[in-house]
Amino acid sequence: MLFSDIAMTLEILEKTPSKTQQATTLAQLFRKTPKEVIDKVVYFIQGVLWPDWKGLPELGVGEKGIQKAIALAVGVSESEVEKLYKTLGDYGRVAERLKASKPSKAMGLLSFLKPGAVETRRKLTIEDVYNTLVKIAMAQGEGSRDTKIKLLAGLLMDAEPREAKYIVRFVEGRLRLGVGDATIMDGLALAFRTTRDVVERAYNIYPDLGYVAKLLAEEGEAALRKLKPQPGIPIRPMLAERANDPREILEKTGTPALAEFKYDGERAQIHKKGDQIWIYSRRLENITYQYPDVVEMARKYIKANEAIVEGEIVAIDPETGDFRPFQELMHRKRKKDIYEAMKEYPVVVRLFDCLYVDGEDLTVKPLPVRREWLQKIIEEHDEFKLAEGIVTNNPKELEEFFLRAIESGCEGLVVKALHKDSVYQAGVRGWLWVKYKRDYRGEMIEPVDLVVVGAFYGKGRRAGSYGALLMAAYDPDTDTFKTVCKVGSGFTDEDLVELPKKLEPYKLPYKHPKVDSEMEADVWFEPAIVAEIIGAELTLSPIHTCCKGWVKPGVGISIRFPRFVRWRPDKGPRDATTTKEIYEMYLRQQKKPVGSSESI
Amino acid sequence: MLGCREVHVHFRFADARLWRYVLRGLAEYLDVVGIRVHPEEGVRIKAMDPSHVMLVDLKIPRSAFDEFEVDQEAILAVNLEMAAKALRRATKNDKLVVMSDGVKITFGLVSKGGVERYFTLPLVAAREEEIPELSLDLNIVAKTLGPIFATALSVLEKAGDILKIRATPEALSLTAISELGEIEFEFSVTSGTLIDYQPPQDGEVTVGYSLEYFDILAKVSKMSDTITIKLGPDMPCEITAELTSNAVLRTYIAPRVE
Repeated sequence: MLFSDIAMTLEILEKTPSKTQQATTLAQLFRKTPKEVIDKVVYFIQGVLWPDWKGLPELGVGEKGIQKAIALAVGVSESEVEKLYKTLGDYGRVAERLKASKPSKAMGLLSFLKPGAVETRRKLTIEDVYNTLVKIAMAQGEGSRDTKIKLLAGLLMDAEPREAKYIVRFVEGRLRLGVGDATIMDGLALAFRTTRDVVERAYNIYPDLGYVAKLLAEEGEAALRKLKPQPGIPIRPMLAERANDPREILEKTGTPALAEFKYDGERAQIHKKGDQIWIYSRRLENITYQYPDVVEMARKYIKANEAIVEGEIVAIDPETGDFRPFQELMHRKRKKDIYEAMKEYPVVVRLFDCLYVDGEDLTVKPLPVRREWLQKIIEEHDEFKLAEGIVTNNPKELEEFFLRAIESGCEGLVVKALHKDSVYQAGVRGWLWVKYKRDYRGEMIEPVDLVVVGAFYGKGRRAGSYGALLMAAYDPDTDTFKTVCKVGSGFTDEDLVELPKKLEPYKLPYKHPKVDSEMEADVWFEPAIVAEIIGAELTLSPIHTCCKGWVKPGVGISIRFPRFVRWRPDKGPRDATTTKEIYEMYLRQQKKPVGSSESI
Repeated sequence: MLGCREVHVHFRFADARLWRYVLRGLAEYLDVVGIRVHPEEGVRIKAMDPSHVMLVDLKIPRSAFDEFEVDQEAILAVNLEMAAKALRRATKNDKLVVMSDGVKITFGLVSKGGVERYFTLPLVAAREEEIPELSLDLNIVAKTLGPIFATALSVLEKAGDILKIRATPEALSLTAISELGEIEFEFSVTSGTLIDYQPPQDGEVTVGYSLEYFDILAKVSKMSDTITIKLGPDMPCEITAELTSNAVLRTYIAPRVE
């Protein structure tokens, strides 16, 4: 198929604002496209060489490279290309304009062909274009920049002006057509007399539009209907709507509903086929290399030969086992230091769905069935288990569970419908799942000085010392110490060794009468030692007693991701930050004036 | 005819380095090259880089081979990267043996001491691309000795990215230009660095080229008897290396855009 036919269609699409007309135009193109190349045509229109999840290289030609290739192809200087770009603002149009105007000097060997040999200059086909672009992407390593530029220049030399425009735009990563996947799917449905739903369902299960198009063109609609999840091929994830009122949420999902912790981690689709494991991100990127530990867990704890499960990978504090913020997972992005990052930033997995087990497509089954499968095939361990959840029909219970989630370092909850139609809607955002997240996100800008009132025994490396300290703020009105947080991070190895010795003089066999705590510490102390603590933000907590009932009934204020900064030997327990100060900080953090009242 | 089946190819060439240099040089630009074998005409490798700046045409007549058995005309399409790797240790003491049955190709390095190393690669399926013939009117002709040209290029390559060839009535000069400076080599009949010289008909002609395309020539010139440089205003240059036993490597390089 000649590439000029595609370029012509692209130009029409670019000038057509209506999505319906765009789909009709695409349908005409797809009808006349030979079946064997329809995948390449679809990829080109998508502006990709292949789906991201295949993990294949990108084109890797930068702006300077494009400039050089155009200059080389049309026989002008790079500065001339740059100058024209400043006027037109689009390298595609620069290439088109330069190709259309005769070069001032004949350049390139093709300008010196024997008379009659001109006919041997090839007309570009979609295969020529696609295969050359693949070669450009595959050129890696030393000297590859030049190779990429030469290949692109060669392609542009053979291209007609209009073709050059779209080739350059493709390489630049901006086709500027205003055509999304949805319009391409509409075009395919029209061309091959099926419905958009059928094409979309296939695309959600097998997110490779080129493949879906080829399958549809070659084998028809029936083949698309037969598509099933396959280990190794990611499924487009089901997405949740968002609401902030527990009552409204339960109305949307219907009752009873399943409320699960929404962990502050990376959503992961884990595929297993025998011993082979793939992990895909929410954006369907293959992130397996980032999590060799999760690969190992999946091998060990998924008790099915083939399975696709979904969960959240969450960073934890190696010392305390507490959840760490999502940002900590960024340390896993660097391929080089992955095994080091694994030790410093260990992760756990919390699973919440099961999409496929040993040949059975579970995406069409309701959530209770999927959960049952998940429980059946997962051998639960601390590091790899089902997400914490409750089944409820009570808004108050939902709210309490929400606060517990926040307290545990989660973002909130995902509330899910459990009725018979609660299928896995791949690639769809709907009300079967509802996110219940805080509608604010504050930032703790100044540290607080809190008093040590209790401690928890350490595990692993911290065995023999304390793993975390229970910290309290001072309430001058009642002359009591009210708990704010449990801090286990930020201590140096020396701090940890010293901890038992430092706190020994204040150890008590009971809770000090001035301490107000709902949490049961392993060891209690007389309020004496003060430490400076910083955290991510101040949050509401159903566990801690600081400011209890001030913001919401039965709920106190706590610190999310607290971290020890230093000891404050200069301060006595009654010089610690007061509960009133913490309340004011909480209100400031939300940019709400002091004195305003809130209710559930 | 590309990747032709059931052929019998077996030939032996006296200096494996020629193949090493040419295939390594082409591997910088291309993935696959077709080696055309002909029972009467010998072997020909003709290829153009994808940006159409350089065309390489290596012709080795049947008579240049120590042994030559080819039962029919065929094009053996080889993966250049793999072939270049196989030949990367070829030295001047190595003879090259090439064998093919149309499905795979074997490169053998036979050293003087009798040590033989063989590398077998699959032939690849590739579309046969017609490399067009060029029509060039090049009036300036300079002939020099291969080793002299090789020395000049090896120095110039280190000094810059751009090669300016200037032809005056008296001499031909090659200047490498970089951001840091210039290095010039002057070739003339009076200094003995040119064997023969046909200067421009009027005035002088200067044409600029990208030096990177001279890489194959820099290596092959070392082993060639003579080098003929042909030039014209704003035209590609044609550089011909005449090699042992009438083998000829002809290279065309398009001028740079200033």
